[in-house]
Amino acid sequence: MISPVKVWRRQKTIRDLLGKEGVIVSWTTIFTPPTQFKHIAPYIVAMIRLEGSINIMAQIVDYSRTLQKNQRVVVVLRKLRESSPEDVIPYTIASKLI
Amino acid sequence: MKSGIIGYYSTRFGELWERSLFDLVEESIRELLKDSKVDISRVDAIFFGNMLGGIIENNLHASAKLAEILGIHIPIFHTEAACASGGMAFHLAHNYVQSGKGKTVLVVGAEKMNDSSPEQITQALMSAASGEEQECGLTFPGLYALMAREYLSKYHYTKKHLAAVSVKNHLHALNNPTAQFQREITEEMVLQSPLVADPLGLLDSSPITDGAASVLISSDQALLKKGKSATILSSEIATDSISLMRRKSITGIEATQIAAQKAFKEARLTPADIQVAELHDCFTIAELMAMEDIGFWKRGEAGKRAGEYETLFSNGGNLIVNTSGGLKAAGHPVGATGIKQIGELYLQLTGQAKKRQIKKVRHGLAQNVGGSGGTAVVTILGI
Repeated sequence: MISPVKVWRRQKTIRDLLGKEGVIVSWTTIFTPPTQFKHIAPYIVAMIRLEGSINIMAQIVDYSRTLQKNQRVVVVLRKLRESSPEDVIPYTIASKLI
Repeated sequence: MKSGIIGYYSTRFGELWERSLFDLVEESIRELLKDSKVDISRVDAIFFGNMLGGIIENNLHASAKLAEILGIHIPIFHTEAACASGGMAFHLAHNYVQSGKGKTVLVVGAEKMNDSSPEQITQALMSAASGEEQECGLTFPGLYALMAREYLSKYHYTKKHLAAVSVKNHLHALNNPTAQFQREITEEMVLQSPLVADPLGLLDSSPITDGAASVLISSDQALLKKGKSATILSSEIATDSISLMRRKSITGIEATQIAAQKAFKEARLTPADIQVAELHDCFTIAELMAMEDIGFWKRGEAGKRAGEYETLFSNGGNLIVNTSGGLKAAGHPVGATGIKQIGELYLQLTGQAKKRQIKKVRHGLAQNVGGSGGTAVVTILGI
């Protein structure tokens, strides 16, 4: 159970990351997901080094090419985690290949 | 103050549908006391390592539950540090005895994991990772997969080098009657197993396990002399950032490096003095990193040396790793694992390991990791 207030607090920092660019450090395809991600599995999650050497973890979305280390990506907004109708919609960061 | 382990008991590890979390805890404690011929009235405190009871079973305040089962009023402490919950319980119990607060202390670790669906247990385990790593849909196999891909790429190894760890630990478990899997596997089977989080497959991963394990620690000289005992030379804990993405490196676990350095210093030993080790192989990659982090092998060597089965029992090398079968084959009831590792060393050091007994063993080391490396406990025992 994740409180709507917690979601709201977390989401306040997301906008600072949107549009930032970086490179893929490592990645994996998740075949055994947690309950709230079961509807989109399998999906890819990458560790990304943004400009300024900050690391983030984000799903790679809208991809058509094979992934490679050091491939460039940009941070975008997505709704990935499943929530109940009464929850705040849990938006989060994801990333797209450039 | 000299203190030692005077007894160890482990329940069967596996899918134990007939047994509840506290059935397992009770069996483990009662059988340990019976085997060690120690009456409960001589136990000054209990430390209980358990991670998930509060989340998946709605059972908190485990200390009072234990008091009810055993009909006692002594101090009982519950520790939680994800998969290092057991190691942390042992560390605190050791310090409790060292401080003189109690002479004889019981440490028990347990987990009941099979009652939940794979998705539920994956989600519950993931509560031990950072919020950011939960929000993107990562899992513990996923976090270790990120480390594995980078390790394999950095040192030019393949999945075959990882597979060797599973094959070895399954061979060891053939001789452990309490292990979850007593079945030989091949590298080919590991490589062909369904992917959990690539490059890690099902047979690279430790299973979902029910089980409990307990040890008795004492500084009571009469008890130490009465039965078989192994001396606790050191037990050290180190921590690191909960998020993998905030670490200096993802091809090693710094908390293990720090805890191991401190443990060797305290015990006045070096890696070359260890003949038997129980390492936290939650995934095959974790055993490779542990061999390097502890200093048994040099950075980047582990893939090659693991691939050559240097630490396999039947190869009779100077260091045998995971004689219990490790987390992979003995099973990984998370709160119990850290205790089982130390119990396995106790059996080896006191000559009670039967078919898997290593000859001429003087020092053993256990490494228990919480999460993706946010906590590490390293314990060294001697005889």
